[in-house]
Amino acid sequence: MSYVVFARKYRPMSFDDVVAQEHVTKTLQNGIKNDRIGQGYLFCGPRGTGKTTTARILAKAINCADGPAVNPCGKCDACEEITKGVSLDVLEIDAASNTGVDDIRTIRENVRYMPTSGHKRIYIIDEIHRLSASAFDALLKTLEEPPPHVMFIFATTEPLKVPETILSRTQRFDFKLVSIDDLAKHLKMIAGKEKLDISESALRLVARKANGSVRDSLSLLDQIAAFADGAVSEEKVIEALGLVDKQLLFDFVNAISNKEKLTTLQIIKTIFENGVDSKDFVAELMEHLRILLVLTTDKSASELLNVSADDLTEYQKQAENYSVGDIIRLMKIGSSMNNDLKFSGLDERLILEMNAVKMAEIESTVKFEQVLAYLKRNPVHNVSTASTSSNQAEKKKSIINPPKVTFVKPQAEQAPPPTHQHETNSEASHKPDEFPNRVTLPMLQTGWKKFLSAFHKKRPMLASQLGLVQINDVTNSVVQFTYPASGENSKLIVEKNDNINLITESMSEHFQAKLSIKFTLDKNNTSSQQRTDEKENANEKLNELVSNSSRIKNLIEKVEGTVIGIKKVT
Amino acid sequence: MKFALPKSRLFNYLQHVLQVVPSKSTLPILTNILIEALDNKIKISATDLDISITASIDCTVIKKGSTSIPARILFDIIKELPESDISFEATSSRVEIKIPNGSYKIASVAPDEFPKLPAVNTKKEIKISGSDLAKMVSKTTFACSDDETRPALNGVLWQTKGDKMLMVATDGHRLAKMSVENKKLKGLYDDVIVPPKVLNLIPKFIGDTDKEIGIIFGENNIIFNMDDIVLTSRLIDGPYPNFEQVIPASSDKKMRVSKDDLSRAVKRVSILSNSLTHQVKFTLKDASLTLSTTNADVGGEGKESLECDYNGDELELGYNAIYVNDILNKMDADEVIFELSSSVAAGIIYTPSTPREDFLCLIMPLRLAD
Amino acid sequence: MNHLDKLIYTSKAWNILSGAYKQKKTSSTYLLYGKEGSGRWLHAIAFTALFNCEDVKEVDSVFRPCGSCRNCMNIFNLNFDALKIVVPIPPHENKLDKAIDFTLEAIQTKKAEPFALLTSAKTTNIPISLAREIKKSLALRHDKGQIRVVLFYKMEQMRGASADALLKMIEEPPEDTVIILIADKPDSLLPTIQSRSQKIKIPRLASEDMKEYLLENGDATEHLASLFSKISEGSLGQAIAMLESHGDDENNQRAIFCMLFKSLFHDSGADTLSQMNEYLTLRDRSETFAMLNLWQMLVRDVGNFAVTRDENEIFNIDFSADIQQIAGYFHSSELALQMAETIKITLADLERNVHIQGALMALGLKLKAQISSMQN
Repeated sequence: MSYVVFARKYRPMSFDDVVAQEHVTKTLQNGIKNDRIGQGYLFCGPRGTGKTTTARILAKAINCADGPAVNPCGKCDACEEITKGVSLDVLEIDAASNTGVDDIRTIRENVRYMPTSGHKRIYIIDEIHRLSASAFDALLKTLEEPPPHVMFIFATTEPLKVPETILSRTQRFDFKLVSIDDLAKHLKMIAGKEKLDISESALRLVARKANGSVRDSLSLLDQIAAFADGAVSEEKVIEALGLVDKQLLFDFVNAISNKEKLTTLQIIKTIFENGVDSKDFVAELMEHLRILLVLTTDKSASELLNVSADDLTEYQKQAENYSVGDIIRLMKIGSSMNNDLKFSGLDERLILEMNAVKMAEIESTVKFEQVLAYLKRNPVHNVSTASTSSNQAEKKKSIINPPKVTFVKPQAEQAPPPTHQHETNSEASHKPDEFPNRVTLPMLQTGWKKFLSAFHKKRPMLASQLGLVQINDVTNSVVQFTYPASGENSKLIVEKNDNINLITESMSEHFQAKLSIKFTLDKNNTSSQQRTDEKENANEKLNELVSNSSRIKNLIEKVEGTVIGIKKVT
Repeated sequence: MKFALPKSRLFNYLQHVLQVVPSKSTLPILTNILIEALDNKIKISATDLDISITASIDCTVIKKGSTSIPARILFDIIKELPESDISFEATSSRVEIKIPNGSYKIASVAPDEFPKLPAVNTKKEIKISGSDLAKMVSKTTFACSDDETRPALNGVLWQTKGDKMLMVATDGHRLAKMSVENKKLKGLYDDVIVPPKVLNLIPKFIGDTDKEIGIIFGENNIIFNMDDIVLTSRLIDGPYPNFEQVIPASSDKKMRVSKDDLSRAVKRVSILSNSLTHQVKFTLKDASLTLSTTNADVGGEGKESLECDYNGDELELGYNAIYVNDILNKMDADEVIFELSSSVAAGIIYTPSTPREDFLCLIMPLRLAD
Repeated sequence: MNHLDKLIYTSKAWNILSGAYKQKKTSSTYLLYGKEGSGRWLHAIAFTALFNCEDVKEVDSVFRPCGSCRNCMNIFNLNFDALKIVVPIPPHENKLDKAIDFTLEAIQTKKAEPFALLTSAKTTNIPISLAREIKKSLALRHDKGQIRVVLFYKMEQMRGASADALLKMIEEPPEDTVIILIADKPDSLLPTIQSRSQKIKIPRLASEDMKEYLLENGDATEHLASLFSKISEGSLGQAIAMLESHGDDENNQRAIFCMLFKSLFHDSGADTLSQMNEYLTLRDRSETFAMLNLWQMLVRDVGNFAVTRDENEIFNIDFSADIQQIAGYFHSSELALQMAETIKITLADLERNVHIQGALMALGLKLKAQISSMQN
């Protein structure tokens, strides 16, 4: 039964075996070669990146029978005893259980004993950041003037918690997270030695799940080796590690894009029934979305991704349903889910279910050319009513989602503006037959307020800037707007490429006419007109407020009065 | 199960067995003893999982069987009984203890609930002298480490090579090594690391008698067969560090000094030593040993000189006074020999009457403050 | 033992554990995680039995302990020399004696009911004395053919220096020794520990299986068994606890909490607040937590029903009618998410020891506002 886990069986025995930390091991080796061996080392880095292992190798290098040696022999008594943790001269202390001043004081007094047979007495202190402040102080005294026969190697996952005074008295080495490529390579080597028949994609999946830690990757490989009988495929890895099945993710994302709320809930149900870890599901969903994001940005970027050719086609298909903005919005929901799962006291099921529904409720940004294509096929005047009729089955097949045109919601401000939209937009304005109407000045003036309030819902800031203009003229579908002299800044804002395109697009849609727009600045007009407009606006709002207020209604009923006018009391 | 035996005989063995019973445990069954009635004898066993003990007691067995009852309760009842024959009878759930003028009933549990005890295979048994064993134990266990980060050092290394048997203990600061000859020993046994706890029990069981003890070196256990009492202990997982490498080769710089004089002087001088290191400085020069210490905390210092036999170069060494005296206490002689080489190398202590390779202690010097 | 077949040996997690046994590739450290009361403990105990069973059975190529040999009997009775159980100890019980008493009590509870929840103080630890003892005994060799198991229950609760000291042992357990950690989620453990263990999720139990267990092991009525197995969400331990503490009080409390929840939808803000004042003691933190927990599950039920329109998806079946009615307010996920967010904030506030009454008032008003903004 004595099965030795891979992390122990394949623990590196020499500097060269340490995975992907050459910047540390080479420096240490050079130090030994040039006889520049320090008395205090601090190894920092995430779990499973080789800190303690390197500390032991360094100890061997120093105390090896023919040391100090750049490559410890590993065979002499000193080396073997260090490997087995019984060396009389190398003491591994775990700061977590020796946090107190007294523990450190004991070390401080013990450092005065001479090494029994090695060259140095070496203290390897793990999790050094767990020491109490006073313990650090006690240690400092020894670090300031260490006896020449003593060497300290500290290891920590949290260098920020190590006081400056300690940092400044040690040589610091930072261990890096190991890349997926390096991990996969290492795993492949071990799988080969273990005669474990495992596919490349399965190895990469394990490497990815290890999050940069060699030890994690080996623990996972252990788990797989213990589970799999025979060849190990990616599917087998998913099964052995209880990971999220990729198909489930494809289904989930399809359900989102088809707005099938019910399906998303059914998938969440399956997840709970199958005992899939909720956080794992969210993590995998995020990874899935990340792949879509990359593909949405650049279809040819597939080599950036860690996916097989088969899967890639599937991903590409899904990516076509989305714009960058959509995916970023979905990822935003994903990350808030992740946060809530980690830190909130909310029920996992509640978090997953409600956010899944939310994802399915997101109105997708539809690419403009798709709208145009759709309209070509279904020439209708009122775009907004066109969507609902298409049945589910058709929806699934069709690339375009309901052609209800919605633009990026203001919440998604941090999202980069969906670039496709605007590129295609200017193109569209050159095709005169896309919209049936021709717009006249009166049409514009009467419909203007309505447009503004509709536009306000999409981009409130921009709409209020746009609200300052006067409509001057419409000739050949070119609308001339004028800003008063004070509106210079507003003009600059609306004239920004993205904005002017958006406004043009929205107006074209609203008035069902192909339009282009121009802004000018009237340096003489100090916008008196504008101010009266504003006043009117304010009064209107007031009127609305009063007529909607139940309290005032009650009051009026009680006094049996009528409203004759509304005045703002200042 | 039914048997009867005189109180004193039972009580005598119960006392031994009870030494192993833990007063409290997360495994409550361990506070019980196992009673097995066989042909003309009963066996009572106890274990704390690390050490197990089984006492075989001759008695009249009326009906064979086994049961398990709380050890402490049984002991307390038996202890207070006047001398008489006591009979035990077990039902499925209780044990009834009958004395001439009354009876006690104790709830029992099925013997299957008692942990399995290691099997004793007497074929591999080797016999050694009980007094030799007791001596080796008393001269080495003191040097064991109590630091649980290196468990091997918590135990005593027991080596058997040819006709020599050897015990070593060290905590990295001092070391004790003793070996005895035993013509009956043949061949090589695996080194074992034995917890000092079981070793320290041996002298209690054998007392002053020099009877032979059967030893069985198992892979995971060591068994001490003392005929009526069998003691078993789990071994500590190795490996043990290579102690030979630590012991320096013979040196010319030898100091010979009166043990008692040195011991007392060390004790006195160390009163003013640092409370953690207990460092006392040994200065050797021209047939004189000077012990000195200074203590910054209490602002004191002490100094004493002793006559000694030394003709090497002048040498200054720092030693932990407690360690020195621990070692001196184990030396059965009027004089002791210190074998030294330098102020940073291990010192060897032994007596003129016993050869260095039979019994020696090693002490690591403290680095003297500059 | 009947329940083991259904609740343990057919689980996905067991399949993985059995596979490791079959291949003789048992890891030195396992982390069994999931909701407390969903069978993590029994998985660990059965796994211990599997190693030490004298007559392992194979059913559908999955291995299971016989359950009747001497070792199995002792293991399932938590009386086995090679099974060491460590539970979190409250800091005031830090003497070895006390720690043993406390552990014994926990073992008794688990022996009587393997799914039972162990109530434990918020900050707990392992006394250094106990840690030392365990460390020492692990350094000793043990009999071949026996696998030693050290079981850490509710690992997420074990903090402090001595717990860490024990954890250090996990790094390199001796041969033939398996460390089993039981925790709610991997993230609650130090990354260095997580990375050394094979993580196996113990899924929530199916409500039908739980119902059956409740009916077979106790005197629950059909109604209560179905209710508690639904609302305890996969934790049999929770269902049992609910059943045990179920009395008029408990029932009343649920009804009151639900009534207050409904009040958010039907009454004015002032009315809701005055009802809260009237029915809640407003001092008792645990009462407040209980209410918030019910409320969030009601939000979940309502939100779910609004989409699925499936009565079977409702957990709080005792309020099924109310839930279906309220679901009318939930046109999109927006309201459910907003309400969940508000409850989340209140939960966090309560963790920070804010004034309960104030927190509840803010909660009521905020929820109310969210609901009315949806109505318009």
